[in-house]
Amino acid sequence: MIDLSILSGPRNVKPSQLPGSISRGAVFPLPGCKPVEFLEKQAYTSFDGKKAAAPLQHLHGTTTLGFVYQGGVLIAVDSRSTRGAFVGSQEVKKIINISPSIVGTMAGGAADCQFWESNLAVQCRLMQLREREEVSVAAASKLLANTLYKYRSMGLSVGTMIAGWDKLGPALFYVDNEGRRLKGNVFSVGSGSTYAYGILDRGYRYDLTKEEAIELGRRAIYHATHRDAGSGGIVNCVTIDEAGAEWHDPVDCYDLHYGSPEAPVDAGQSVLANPAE
Amino acid sequence: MSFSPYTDNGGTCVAIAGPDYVLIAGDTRMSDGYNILHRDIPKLSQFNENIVMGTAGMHADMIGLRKELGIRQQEYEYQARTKMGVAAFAQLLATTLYNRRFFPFYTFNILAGVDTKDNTCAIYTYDAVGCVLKAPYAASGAGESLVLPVLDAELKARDPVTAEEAKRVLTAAFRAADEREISTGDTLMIWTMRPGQEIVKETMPLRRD
Repeated sequence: MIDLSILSGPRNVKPSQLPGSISRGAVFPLPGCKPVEFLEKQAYTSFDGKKAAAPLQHLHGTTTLGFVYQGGVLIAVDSRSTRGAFVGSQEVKKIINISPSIVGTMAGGAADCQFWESNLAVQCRLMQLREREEVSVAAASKLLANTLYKYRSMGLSVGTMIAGWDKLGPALFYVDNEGRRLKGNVFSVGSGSTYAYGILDRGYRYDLTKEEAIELGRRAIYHATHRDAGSGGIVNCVTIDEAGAEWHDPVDCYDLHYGSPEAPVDAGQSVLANPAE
Repeated sequence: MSFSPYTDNGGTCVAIAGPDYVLIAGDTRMSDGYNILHRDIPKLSQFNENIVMGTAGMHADMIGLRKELGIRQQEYEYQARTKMGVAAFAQLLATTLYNRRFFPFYTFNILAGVDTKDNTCAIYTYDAVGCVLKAPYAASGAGESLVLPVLDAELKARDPVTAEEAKRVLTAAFRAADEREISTGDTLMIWTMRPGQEIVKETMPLRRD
């Protein structure tokens, strides 16, 4: 039987009285030295001790953007994940659901963003049950900023935008691993952000229609993937308004560039000549 | 020389999923630099008849990780009184890896499983600190950068292939890895999982040089 007593309990429950350990903050084992120095040294290993082989984390190149327009807020991201020059994946989901009307984006360390943003989703759900009210974007972003501030200078790498719709309308915040938290109308984060800003600043107006906003978001990501080798794959786009989050069709950067989908090589047939096995 | 807790024992794991099957494979070599320490160390760990994990990287950490996951799986199954599903296990692996964020397990994992709720087959890939991605096919370990391009050429943007075809692609991919990557070789273990069926476990020889 699930313990539902929390639903009928007093309004001000202390976090320590909540079920589950996540609200109390996870405890992480540390090596017997400074974590940042340790990981920097251990991040790469090879036979001769030189920097080479398998790094411990991927995803550093990225382009993500978000802006507020008259109808709501839009988020657009690429989907490439790199480990040095190696493309680890072309199909990463860089938009993470925080609540039905709030999303977060992912730039920096993939695991750091994934873990702490799903942790944020948990915190928001608990807060919503406690306060009996949808969590605001400002509150959600501050919960994340506070969490990250606790781990400041521990070597986390997070550059995120928290975007959504709450009782005050659309809102967009930038939050990073330094504990920085900024409210704004236009943000872009990642190695391709400078290119995205170029397109964004040229085309952005507050009174954009939803269709124009989607077009601008996709265009900015596309141009960033074209110039920044660390960004690429497919463009994912979501708009959030009163009705909640609306996910738009993902578009492959290849299709955006050439205007038609990539033709499969020798369709249906193996590239390998008549396999013997 | 400062203390260094990690060694890279190399090796490669590959998984390919189709609509009604999922293959997961790994070589059995364990090496340290140019030294081959053992020729018969499995990289696949079975957690129940629906969940198999493939681990490349550091062997000692693989053992530690496997043990910790086994304990957490037991706890889950006692508490929930149900067998653990792949989706739950995938999340468990991610959090277990992230719990060691500042002193990571030096392991590169892929997870293959059958979701008994809707009889679908799933593959999850991880980095060392627990970033998860769901994928139709995946590779990890020392031969990843040699194997993935082969899988991309054969499987990407194509109609799903049959299990037999997938096995051919998989062996071809391992051919690429054992030919050109020193820490991959000896024997290839291929496990085939299908909804409602027992895992079929096969081996085939790889280069032993």
